[in-house]
Amino acid sequence: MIFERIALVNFRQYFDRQRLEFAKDRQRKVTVIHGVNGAGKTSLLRAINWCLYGSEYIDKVGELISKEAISRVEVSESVTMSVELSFLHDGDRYIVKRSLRGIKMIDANVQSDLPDEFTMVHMHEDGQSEQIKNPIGTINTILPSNIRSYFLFDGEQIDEFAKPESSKQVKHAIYHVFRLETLDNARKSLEAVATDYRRELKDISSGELGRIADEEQKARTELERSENEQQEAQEEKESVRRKMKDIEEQLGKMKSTNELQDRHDRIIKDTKQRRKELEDVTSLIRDISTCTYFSIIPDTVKNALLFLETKREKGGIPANIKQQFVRDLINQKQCICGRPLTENCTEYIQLLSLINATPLDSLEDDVLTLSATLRMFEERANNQSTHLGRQMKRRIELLNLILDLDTEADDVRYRLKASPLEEVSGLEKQRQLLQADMDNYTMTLGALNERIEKLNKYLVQLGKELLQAQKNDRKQKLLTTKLNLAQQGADAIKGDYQGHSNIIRQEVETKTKEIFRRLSWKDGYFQSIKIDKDFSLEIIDQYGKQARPDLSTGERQILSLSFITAMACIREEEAPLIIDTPFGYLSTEHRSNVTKYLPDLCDQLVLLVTDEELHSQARANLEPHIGNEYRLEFDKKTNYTTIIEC
Amino acid sequence: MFQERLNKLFAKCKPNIQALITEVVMLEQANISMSKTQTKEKVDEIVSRLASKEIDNREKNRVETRTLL
Repeated sequence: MIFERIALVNFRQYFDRQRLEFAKDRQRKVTVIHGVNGAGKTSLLRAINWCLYGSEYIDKVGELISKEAISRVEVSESVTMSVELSFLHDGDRYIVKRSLRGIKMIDANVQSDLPDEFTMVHMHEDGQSEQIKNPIGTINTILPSNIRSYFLFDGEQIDEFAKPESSKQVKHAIYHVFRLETLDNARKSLEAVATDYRRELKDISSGELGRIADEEQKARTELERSENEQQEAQEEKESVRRKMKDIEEQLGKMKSTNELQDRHDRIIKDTKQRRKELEDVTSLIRDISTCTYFSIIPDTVKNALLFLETKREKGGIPANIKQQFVRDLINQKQCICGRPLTENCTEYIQLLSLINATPLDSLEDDVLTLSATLRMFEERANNQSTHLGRQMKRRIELLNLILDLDTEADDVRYRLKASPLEEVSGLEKQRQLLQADMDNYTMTLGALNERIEKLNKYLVQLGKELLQAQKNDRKQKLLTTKLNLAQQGADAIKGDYQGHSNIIRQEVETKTKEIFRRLSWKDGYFQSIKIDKDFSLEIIDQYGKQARPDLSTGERQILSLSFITAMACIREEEAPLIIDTPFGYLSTEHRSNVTKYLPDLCDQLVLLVTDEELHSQARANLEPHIGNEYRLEFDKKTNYTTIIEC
Repeated sequence: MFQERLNKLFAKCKPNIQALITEVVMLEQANISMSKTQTKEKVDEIVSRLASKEIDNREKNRVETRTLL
């Protein structure tokens, strides 16, 4: 970065528009800006800082706007303040402009109703311009905000690097100026994203795609096999269907034969039934015939009944007269007709003889019972005989019926003799077998259809899973590559960081020593300068002792200036060195040395000096390097500064 | 200038790593005053872009090798 010019509008003491050109010639790179205390030297430094880095440098915005400008507007009217800086960087020209509008309040204070406006334009060689979208980022790339204090500083306050507690500042200076901070941040960011990638990778199942692909392959093989089986089964079923149709057609043609066969079958069935009936009847007849006494019972019973009747008629067995009855008559001595029975009368004697002639009551009962039984036997024998007769008759009928059926069967057989009965049967058997096959094929096809449907559904599901897994796989591949890249990047930075840091430290140490020897008038007194590994800046005297505690303010300033310019030299990036009041604490010898050597140690030098700082030898030393020179004229009447070119 | 120094510093790295470091460092430099979260998202974008490019190159090389075979 090499400044070209600056234009200030209503910035602090700079009322209206003030501008100056910076010297940028390699031989005359020094711009000297003279000004008494309060003329606006520090304001100029602040204007540059504010323009480049914004309000973080400024505490109160109202203090930045020219009081003269504010005084010239009415309450509620606005005043616009701006700083425009033009600079070169890597051969390109840039113009940055920051502006802020303030509104005058009743109490004459100024309030800003809007944030400042920052624009950056890249000017091309052909005169075309391009507005930069990220001006803050671009400025940070060119001259980062965290190192500005090493390039734009107050000379009276730069002795801090030489103070005993300076190691932190020295470390930070090297860390920031040489962008080690940036390298470290880059490493941290790369490691952070690598950690995220690793976590994401862990979440993605690595074998998922392979598993689904295998599953899909298996399912597709199974589907193909099932579809082949289905096709085969369908073809077989169709073949069977055709065969069945043929057989049915053949059987249809043989209808009459079938009827004959049916008749034959019926006859055989009837014959079988009749024969069974004949067996039953024959068996029954055999049973009836086995009871032979029935055949002789009728005559025997008749004879027995006749005998008993005869005996009773002959008085051998008085029918229905009981001995007791006769006794009762004798005892009563009176007949049932009323005639008296005397003991010697004939009737009485007959009654007495009758008592003797009558059998016992039990015999009579037995005879009566026997007679009844004999009559029952007679009746049952008669019934049995009738039943037997009927069965015999039935048997004859059955025999005749069977004979007729046999005759009819013979007749049908005779008629079927010439018919293709066996063929029909065979066809029928075939048809039945084919029907069974058809049923099997139907079942097989049903199962296969169901299986194919399931497989197709499964394949659709696997397809979706596969798509997702492929997405994951692509993501995984990308993540793996990202992880490798990020980790390798972080490792590369980490690997080189420490070495790079040490090299820079040593280079800065060497250069600081070299510059300090030039700038310090005690050339032989100080033996060495060291920047330790802990980044403390040490100066060793000729006795080998640490001389830093004994350094004067001016010496500390020279040491700090040596360190800063050493960094600027090693950094190898063009940058201006703008020092406000650079020689305030320096003795004549130091001023002489600084003015003599400093222009060669930087790319551009802007010195904001009081007249007292720059005179005699110092002025003479700078003279060959001064490109531009200005004087800041503060008008006590108007209270604003005018930049006047000398 | 800074970019040249970076290239010199990481010269021994593979070109893609070198490119990555340069981009990320430049990003970090530009966002030195910004939050880490914003930077991280942008670093992810850089890494993703370079990784996609690398995958494409790998795929291209694979196809070319297959064609040659």
